[in-house]
Amino acid sequence: MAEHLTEEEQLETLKRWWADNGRSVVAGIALAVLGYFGWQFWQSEQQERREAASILYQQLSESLADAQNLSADQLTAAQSIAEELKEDYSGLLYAADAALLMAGAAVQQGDLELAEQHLRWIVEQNTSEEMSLLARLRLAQVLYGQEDYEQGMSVLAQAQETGAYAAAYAELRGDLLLAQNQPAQAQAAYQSALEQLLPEQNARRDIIQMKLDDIQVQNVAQADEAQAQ
Amino acid sequence: MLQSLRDNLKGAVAVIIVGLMVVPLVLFGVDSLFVNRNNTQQVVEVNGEAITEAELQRAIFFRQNQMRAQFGDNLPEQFISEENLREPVLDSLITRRLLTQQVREGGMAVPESQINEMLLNAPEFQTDGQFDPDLFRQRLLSVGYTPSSYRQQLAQDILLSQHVTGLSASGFVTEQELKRTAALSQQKRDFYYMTIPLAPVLEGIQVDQERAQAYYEEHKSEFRNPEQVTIEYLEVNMDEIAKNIDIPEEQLREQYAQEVAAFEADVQRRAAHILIEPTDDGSAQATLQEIQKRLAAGEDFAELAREYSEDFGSREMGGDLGVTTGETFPEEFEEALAQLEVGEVSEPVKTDAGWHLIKLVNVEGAEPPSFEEDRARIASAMKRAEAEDRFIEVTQQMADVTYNAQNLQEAAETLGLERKVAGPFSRDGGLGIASNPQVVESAFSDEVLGQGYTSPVLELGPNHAMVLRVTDHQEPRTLSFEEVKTEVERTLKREMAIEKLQEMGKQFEQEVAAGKPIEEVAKANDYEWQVSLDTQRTSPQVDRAVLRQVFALPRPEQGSVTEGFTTPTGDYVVVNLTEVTDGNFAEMSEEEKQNLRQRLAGMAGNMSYSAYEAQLKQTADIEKL
Repeated sequence: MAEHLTEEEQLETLKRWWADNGRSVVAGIALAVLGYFGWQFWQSEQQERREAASILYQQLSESLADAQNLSADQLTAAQSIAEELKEDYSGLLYAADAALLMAGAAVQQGDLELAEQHLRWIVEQNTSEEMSLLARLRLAQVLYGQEDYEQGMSVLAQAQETGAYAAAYAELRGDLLLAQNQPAQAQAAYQSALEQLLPEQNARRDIIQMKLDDIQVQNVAQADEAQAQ
Repeated sequence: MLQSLRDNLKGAVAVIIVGLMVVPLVLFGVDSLFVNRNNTQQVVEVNGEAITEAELQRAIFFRQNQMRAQFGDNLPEQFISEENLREPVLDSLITRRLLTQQVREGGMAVPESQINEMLLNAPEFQTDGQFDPDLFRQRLLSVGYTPSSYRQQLAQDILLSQHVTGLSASGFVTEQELKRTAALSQQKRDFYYMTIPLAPVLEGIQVDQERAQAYYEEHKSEFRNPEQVTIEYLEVNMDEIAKNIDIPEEQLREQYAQEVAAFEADVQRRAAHILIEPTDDGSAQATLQEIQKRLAAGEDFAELAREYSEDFGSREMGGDLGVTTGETFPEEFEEALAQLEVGEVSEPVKTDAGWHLIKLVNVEGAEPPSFEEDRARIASAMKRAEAEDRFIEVTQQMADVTYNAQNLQEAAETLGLERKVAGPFSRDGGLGIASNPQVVESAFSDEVLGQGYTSPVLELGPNHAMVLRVTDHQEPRTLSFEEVKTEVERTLKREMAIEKLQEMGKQFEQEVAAGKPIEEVAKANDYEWQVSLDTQRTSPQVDRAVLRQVFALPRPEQGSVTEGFTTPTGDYVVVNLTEVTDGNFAEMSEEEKQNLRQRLAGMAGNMSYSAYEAQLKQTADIEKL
């Protein structure tokens, strides 16, 4: 077709085409360029964010390494790093790990309420199952420490499938039941903990056995009678 | 380099993390990695990501090095064989991969600067305290990394350690738990106990035939003889072969002569010379004679060398040429030198350089041992060498001759070996050669037991090989009463004795429970009794079986708790528990408190971390390829 047209005619066609489509071509190219740089920018922004969180977390974990000899100031400083991670980087795993570390240090310092806050925060986040089971277990452990046994039981009960955590959950359930004077059920819980211990958890066996042995046969009988009445 | 990372970790956390790391903590002593780095065969797929054979090999290799570094040379090689490490190492690689995926999805990252800093400060990569890029590349290459793949692994290790620290080092224990655990673990119990021994009762027991028969009928299923085989075998043992080798005297002497020659070659002679270049007019001869005359008159060789020698290199040194083992100087020179005694000077010797008067300054290197002294060593080495040849030869022949043989007798005669038998033995092995697992496995293999062939040559050790055939095979069967009569009687006797003892014991138990002091009951019946106060769970003074029972007894509410039980040795023990005192956390020393807290917090961290890891594995998609 092109052969039949003169040069001028060709130029004319091109001009017309440009008048019709020029705007969208330019817009398309601009969008692509913008998209590319935007993506690059977003990527590097992400990477920077992650690295910033990493540095904060590293600071936190180093400052808590010797949690036994932590001063009040150090604890406050660590607490503010943990809060920063939870607020600004809540979507990153660093936030949950920081909350765990902080909860551990808080218990060490006798501040069970602070520990509870951190652990509850993780439970409320949309984390992986293994993380939420872990946080729940520790939260119930803190509640046991606060003698809030019913809450502890209900936190444990909210986990539908305890999976590999079965033994740990069962042991803590035993502790909570016994504290609520239900020795027969506690006995069953400890028994089930022993049966479901993972090979890697064998070091715990003696302690659970000790707790089990301590539940006395006649007490169990008495409590059962009391319940029956 | 990761050392600093590791130093910050304590106890259980460190163990977990180090187990997961793949970047070697120690690069020293790793010359090269004997694995095919390009082996991309996939071993397992973890949530769609493959772990390759090459990765596994490298991890096994690092684990081996790690274990060697930790346990030293005492570690049996078999312990760290690839076969034994494969499964556990693969397992930790899977865990590592799962955690890596989690860390990645969780948006964890290490700043480049942190990695740079680590590399720059790693003593492994430094020369004279400075980072050395060449050394860095070289070290990495030796373990199969490129700088970028190494950085990547290092970054992963850092991230894993961050995450695992968060999960595991965060374990804690509350005051409430501490109090409870201390109450139980530090609990003290007061108790009295008497032991009624089994032995005297056992003596008085008579087992009648009828009862034994009845017991046999009742427990027939327990009296089974396992499947057994009897084998015939031929074995070649290098030590045995060596014993029967006789080396003729002349061969020994020949070997000795060779060794002496080699020994001679080791002797170093220090030579000095005076060189006179030949002249056409015969004046050289005259000079030589003159020097010889002056030497004979007792003049110093070195002085004369300075005066006469035309070897400008050695002249100023008094003619000294240094040492030779026999190849340094021209042949004529060396021959003349070898003839000389220390201090002696030779007649003129002609070489291409001219005329030499040679002096042997000294000889270094000892005298070779005499033939008699060396005979035993030479004989044993020669026997050994010949035995090795014969061993290989016989082993080869053994394979050929026995391959299709119907029995081993003929083969034994052909090979000049003794046909031996062993067994019957079961899959659990037997005595002598049947205690070797390789032998047992082969004897029960399908080829040997099922098809009746001769086994392939089994290499039991570097100097020990054998072949075997099964000659008799017994199916598992129930043993007849006659065969097990003694055993039945012994078991029954013990059972009856324990029963009788329990009856006796119950009586004493009742007396004690009724309030009679154990001491009185024991003395009246001439039994041993003991009292143990403030006894802890781990007390070394009391038998473990007794302790275990005592601490499982309920607390006495009023008065005391009495109970009797049979110990694993069959004795009967009556215990009277009078008091239980719980441990008191508040009264423990600061140090004890701290230790307990640390131990329990660590244990709690480990307990929940193991569950985390196991849960991660259970819910992952892991496919072995």
